[in-house]
Amino acid sequence: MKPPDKEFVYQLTDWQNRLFGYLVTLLGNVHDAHDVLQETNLVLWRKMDDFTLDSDFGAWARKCAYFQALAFLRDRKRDRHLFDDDLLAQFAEEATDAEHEAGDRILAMRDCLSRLPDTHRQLINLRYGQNQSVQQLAKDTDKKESAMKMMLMRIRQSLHTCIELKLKEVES
Amino acid sequence: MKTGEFDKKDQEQLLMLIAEVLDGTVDDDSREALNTLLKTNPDARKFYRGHMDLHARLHLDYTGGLAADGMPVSLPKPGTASGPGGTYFTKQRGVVAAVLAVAACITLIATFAWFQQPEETPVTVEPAEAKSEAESFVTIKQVRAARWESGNLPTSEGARLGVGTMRLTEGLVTLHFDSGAKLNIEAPAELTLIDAMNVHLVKGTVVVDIPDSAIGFQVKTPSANVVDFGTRFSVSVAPGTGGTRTQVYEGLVEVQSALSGEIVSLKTGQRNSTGKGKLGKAQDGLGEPVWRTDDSPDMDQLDWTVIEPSKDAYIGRVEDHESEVLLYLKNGHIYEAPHRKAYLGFDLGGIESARVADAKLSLHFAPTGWGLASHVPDATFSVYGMLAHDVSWDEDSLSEKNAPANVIGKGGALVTAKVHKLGSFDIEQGVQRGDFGIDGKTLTAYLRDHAGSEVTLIVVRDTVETEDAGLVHGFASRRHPNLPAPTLSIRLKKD
Repeated sequence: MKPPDKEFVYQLTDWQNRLFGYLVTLLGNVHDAHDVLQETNLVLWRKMDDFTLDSDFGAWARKCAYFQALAFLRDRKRDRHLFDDDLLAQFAEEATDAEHEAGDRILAMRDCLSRLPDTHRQLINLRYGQNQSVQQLAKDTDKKESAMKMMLMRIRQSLHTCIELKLKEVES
Repeated sequence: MKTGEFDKKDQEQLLMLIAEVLDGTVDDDSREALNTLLKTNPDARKFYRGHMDLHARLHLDYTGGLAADGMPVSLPKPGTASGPGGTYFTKQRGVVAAVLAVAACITLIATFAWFQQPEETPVTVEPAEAKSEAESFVTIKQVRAARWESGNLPTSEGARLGVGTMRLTEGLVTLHFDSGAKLNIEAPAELTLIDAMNVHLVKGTVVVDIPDSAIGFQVKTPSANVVDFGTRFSVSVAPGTGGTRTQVYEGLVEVQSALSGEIVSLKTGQRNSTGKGKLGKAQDGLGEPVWRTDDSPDMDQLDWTVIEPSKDAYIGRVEDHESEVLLYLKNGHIYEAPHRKAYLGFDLGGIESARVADAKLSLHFAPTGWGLASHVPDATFSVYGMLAHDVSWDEDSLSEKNAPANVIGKGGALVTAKVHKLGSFDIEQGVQRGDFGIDGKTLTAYLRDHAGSEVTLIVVRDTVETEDAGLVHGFASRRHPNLPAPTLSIRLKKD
């Protein structure tokens, strides 16, 4: 096997997080997205020879990730899927590099996180950093599950709004 | 919901639905509402994409997935997010470009140079999913002389189990399902629990006792789907072929061919055999218990090659804590902890890709004498294969800095663009001895892809210690004087 093409390896590395976000959108959870990303990497690696400098790596990788996601869902046909095939296709058609542009978005997210009230940031840390369930968080904070779910929802919404505002500032 | 409008009310509804998606609590009604809302409104889809992307990035950021320099991720102080050096990814590109420029100059060692670079974009290995979140539907009622192999479920008497796979190498285990079904697993067997009414028998034998409450209980096998209608019956699956034999001791079952969909009914005292694509007729009389279900290969058709590592080493060595005979594994809970990962090199020279039919990696664990078992819960270990062929590393000088695909200071993290996850196994808290490992399609496919070259497998512990000084797990290296070395067993088809 030839040594990995440097541009290919660079692109594959650079696209990891965007592909992950794309797969979370299609599949609805990070665990399945991780599994499908692994499979996608393998397929991309196998097809490395198809990659040329003229290729749109992002479009190629997304297409591959989409088909891997479909295959993953087919293999798990016992489970109810979050989306039907038509909606998955709609998401695939609408995905663009711009929407998943990572650099500014991650900076905006970190800035917005730092502006959250301490208690809210701590909750996000427990949910994402410590992988704690909503049930566990509710128990630890002596709140009802529904209240905890609502609180996390509001925090995510405020983060989302903050990020979108910041990205608009960057554009203008 | 009118097409094209996305008002405040829709937004609130979508927010609630997204919360259910993220918490894994979507029911049929919510699923339908979500699909309808998203299909009819591009703004709703954009809103959904934005939220899911945020969720993914929070997940990556908090598990270290975006750290470029191997340091733990910490939140920037307000106003410090955009440094003078440009955006995060601009910096990333600088790092990678520099690495690649060097690599380009020396074509011969391009692969090696690239894989040596510690500063690159890592995505952390997914931490073991919190088992407490899983819904349980089975109780282990009785365990007799059981010995387990690399499953992902608890194995002690009284334990509650949810979705997962059990691999029993010796003994007999009785499971009571919440549906009322009772099931004995007879070793050697591999059984996946799906829910309170469904199991998947990969190999081995189960004897099932079904009360009225569990009528409709199904045992799926590689070749058949056995549906019960209130009875006592056994199902045996032959390893290798996946052929299924069903015997009914009392009552009625239906056996459906997985391939053709044909169905045969079996009454009390009847049996049948189902191969892949061939559904046998119902035959009267209960035969001698089934067929051989041990793992010994069928020497008439297949041949096993057992390969020991050509090199092995672990990283995260600490002076006076080292071992030359055991390969240590540890996932510390702080950055400074020694995060230990084991590297195994197997030479597949002479192995023909097309002949690889099956494979299994076996590791013999033994106590290291370091750390407290109380500080490490039931632990999940993962095995990764380097995607590149013939990756160069030296067992005498392997370190955290030069180990291929290693991410420094982040537990079990590896650069996912360079590795492929081949499988996982679990070891219960406190257990320090025994044979563990992985097998299956993913490992087999990986070896097929890499036949003829030297492969590098990396073993990591996904589970983080809960406090300082957690147990250091270890398995025998190829230098161990009396314990078996790691082995890669490859089943080869005859020419």
